[in-house]
Amino acid sequence: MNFEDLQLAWQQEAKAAPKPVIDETLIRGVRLHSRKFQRRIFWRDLREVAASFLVAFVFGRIAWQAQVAGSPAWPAWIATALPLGVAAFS
Amino acid sequence: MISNHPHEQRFAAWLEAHGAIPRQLSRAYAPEPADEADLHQEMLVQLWRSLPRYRAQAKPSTWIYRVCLNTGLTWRRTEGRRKARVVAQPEPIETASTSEIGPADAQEQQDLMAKLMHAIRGLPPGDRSLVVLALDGLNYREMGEITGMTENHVGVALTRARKKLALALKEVSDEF
Repeated sequence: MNFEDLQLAWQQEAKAAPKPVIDETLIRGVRLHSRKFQRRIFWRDLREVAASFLVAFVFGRIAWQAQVAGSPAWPAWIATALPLGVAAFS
Repeated sequence: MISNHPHEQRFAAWLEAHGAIPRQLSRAYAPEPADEADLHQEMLVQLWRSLPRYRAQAKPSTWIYRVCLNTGLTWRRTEGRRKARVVAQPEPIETASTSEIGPADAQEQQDLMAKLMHAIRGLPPGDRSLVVLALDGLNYREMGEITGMTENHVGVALTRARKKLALALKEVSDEF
């Protein structure tokens, strides 16, 4: 069986399939699922931002303590800034 | 009855004209036949959400292919969806009507489509996209617009994908 035969079968299948009923019920269903999706994205972003702030707080504290103790603190400051960047773009 | 809201009107017009695109792509991209309805629904949701971003720079069909392909590539069946399906048991998307062809031909067509779908589902996602677009009868330029590849690259990648499909079909035919 060559590719053209498969193409023909595929296209026949697409043509013969029953057309969907496009009515208020379908639109309502899509709108409802779309809102659910939006809510899911919102909570995911919120979790990401919260986690980023938590990580930034931990590294910020380490950086501050290092600074006070007179040790090199720049790696910890970078580690503080990175999750804040993630939070800003979430 | 659909309201006069332009968003709804355009969505309905798109589905009326190109409803076969999400239907066929959901069949090709669902990990199992039972997931087709879920994936189809997800494609419709993403199409709905993409409407405000559509700027008529591409043909609606190109846009619909892009949105549905991206949804198919990123869609993952979640445990929640699986449980919901076990409870709700939605009807699977219907296969071709057999009213226009005889029962023997219809059976043959169904067997062929089952094998083809099985083989397509076994291809890597990138190859699957090209094979599905080629089966839909799109030319290299259109496939390039949808996938973001150059026409030459489409040609090379499609040849490779067709070989893999032929191999997969042979394996499927041996299994059946």
